[in-house]
Amino acid sequence: MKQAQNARMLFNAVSLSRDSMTVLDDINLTLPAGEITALLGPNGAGKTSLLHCASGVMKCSAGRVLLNEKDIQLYTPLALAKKVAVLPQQSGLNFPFSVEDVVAMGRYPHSDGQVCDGKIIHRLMDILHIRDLAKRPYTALSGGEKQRTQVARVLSQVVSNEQLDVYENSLLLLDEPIAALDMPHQSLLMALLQTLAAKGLTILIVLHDVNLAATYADNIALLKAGRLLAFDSVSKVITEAMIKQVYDVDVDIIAHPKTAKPLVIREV
Amino acid sequence: MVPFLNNLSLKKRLLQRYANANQGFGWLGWLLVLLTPFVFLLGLGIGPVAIDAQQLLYLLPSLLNDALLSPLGLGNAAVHDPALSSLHIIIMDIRLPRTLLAWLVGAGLAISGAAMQGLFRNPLADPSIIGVTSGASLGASIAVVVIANRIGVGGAEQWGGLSILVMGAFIGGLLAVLIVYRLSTASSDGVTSNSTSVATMLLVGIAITALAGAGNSLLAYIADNNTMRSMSLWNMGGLDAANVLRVKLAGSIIIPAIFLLMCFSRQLDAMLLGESEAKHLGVDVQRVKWALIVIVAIAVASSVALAGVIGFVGLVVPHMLRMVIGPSHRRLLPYSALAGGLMLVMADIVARVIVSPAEMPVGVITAILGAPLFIFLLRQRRDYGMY
Repeated sequence: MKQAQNARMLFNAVSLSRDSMTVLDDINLTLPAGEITALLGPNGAGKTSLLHCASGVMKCSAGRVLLNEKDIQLYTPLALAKKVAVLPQQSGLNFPFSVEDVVAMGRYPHSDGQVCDGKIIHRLMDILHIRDLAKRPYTALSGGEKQRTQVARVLSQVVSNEQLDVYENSLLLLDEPIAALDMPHQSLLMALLQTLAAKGLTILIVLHDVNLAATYADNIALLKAGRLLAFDSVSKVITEAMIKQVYDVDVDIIAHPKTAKPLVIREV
Repeated sequence: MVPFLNNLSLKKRLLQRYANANQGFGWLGWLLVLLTPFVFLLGLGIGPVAIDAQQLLYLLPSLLNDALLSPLGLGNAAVHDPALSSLHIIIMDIRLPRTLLAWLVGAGLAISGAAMQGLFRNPLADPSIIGVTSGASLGASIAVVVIANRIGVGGAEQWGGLSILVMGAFIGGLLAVLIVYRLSTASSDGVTSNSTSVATMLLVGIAITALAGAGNSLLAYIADNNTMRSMSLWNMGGLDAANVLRVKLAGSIIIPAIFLLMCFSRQLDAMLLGESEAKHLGVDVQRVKWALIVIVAIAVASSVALAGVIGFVGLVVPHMLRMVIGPSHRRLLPYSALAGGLMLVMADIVARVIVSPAEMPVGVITAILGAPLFIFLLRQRRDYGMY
């Protein structure tokens, strides 16, 4: 397993059990700063629970989660929100806020007198193609438009200015952000995440699309039945044997003709 | 414009809001502010003894003197025109306390309703959802039927202007909320630490309401006819018992509650996204929940105790406003207070004149007036998803 020198977040022997069921079992994981780590695994493997532990909303039953070398449970809600932004799998907002209002909520922990808040919001809405929807009620949007709005909200929490610089030592947790998006917007979002990672943002992202993960992520963590099976750079993790072990499907892996990254093809 | 996040100077912020047609700070808020004194004067003028505008204008200086300056020790002994002194007494002793109490209770109920709808993320929530109203009802019944009978005083017996019923209602309302809150707060189970589930709270609130309702019925069953009638009248709500003491009590509880609730507008906005989302944005969700419930419980328990059960204002006023100005609490909360106060003052005027010289319970009026208006608005705004 990969050991990073510059760790943004550290899972130290993290276990989680709920109703006497083991959800996470002795997870040791290091999220390297400024890199994208994709979290993959079959349904019910514990990916979302791992994210909950990372965001501090769930207390792990054993072990510790350290953010910037400090136990995540020791942060105050506001101090944590300044460092960690979270996009949940689905959002239950059913009050007709305008799209702009929803995106602006991401500035909540930072609203400390910066006039540039408005600029950040507008920039992100431009990038995610929701500027035209700015005044529309959120409840009237399509699923993909809602998702892009939520993504813009979460990104506005980690971006510190119009040039998309990110706050120092910050972390972004995304739970299946691309599920509702069409193909161009999937690529758009992943490329945007790469840009932010290059500026120092650490990203943990739950994905189901192995190829997308292989294309855009720096590292891949494989989770199965609450246990971490592998955590390493893309080319080391995406192997036929590993995919077989995690998903129990037979695949072929070839090199992408342009990027030479591994490309998984389902056997028929 | 982006709400609540720019810490510009107030003037700049007002200008920005004004510049933005969609956010439209102005017109509704200003309209409500401007309407308030107008409706207040109506409330002072209309009644079994009509006081026309000219007389009101003539009385105004001495009224202001007596109502505002004298209590502060600044007033000078006003010289009253003998022809108008009886009107002066009617206003000072009856109509002014009544109008003020109506405004306070209406404002308190409406802003509490807005806060509860936000906290529960449920447009059907109203202040009674946390059990406060039914608890107050039961408390009032126990006070009247059991305690008052036992110690041999009438339920309406006044102790320094407050009946035993008022105290019973206030205590009952708070106790009910306490029970609901405790039952829906899970002690630490290792995963979620000491959190209150609003979904559980909703259900426990319903259960406590049903239980209190049964207790109420039981007490009504064993009560004698007079007591039963006073209980059921109280349950319809009424402001006829308004007096200076009640206004002072209501004011000293509800006015601070209004301002405290307004401090939570940003947190409430964030909580509409979902509880975990609000947490991720840095809101101390558990603390906000606790604070909101305590404030609302005290405000609603006092207004129910002083004016009986007045339904509808807390449910409908925030709704109607949301349809016009959107869900952002920064405006919704103050507007709800203003509109709720206005609505109840107007409803009370109608209650006084419609079967004059008798009176209709004001709770009946709020429902008769409010329900059709609400239905009309609902049919106007079907495009808004949740509506």
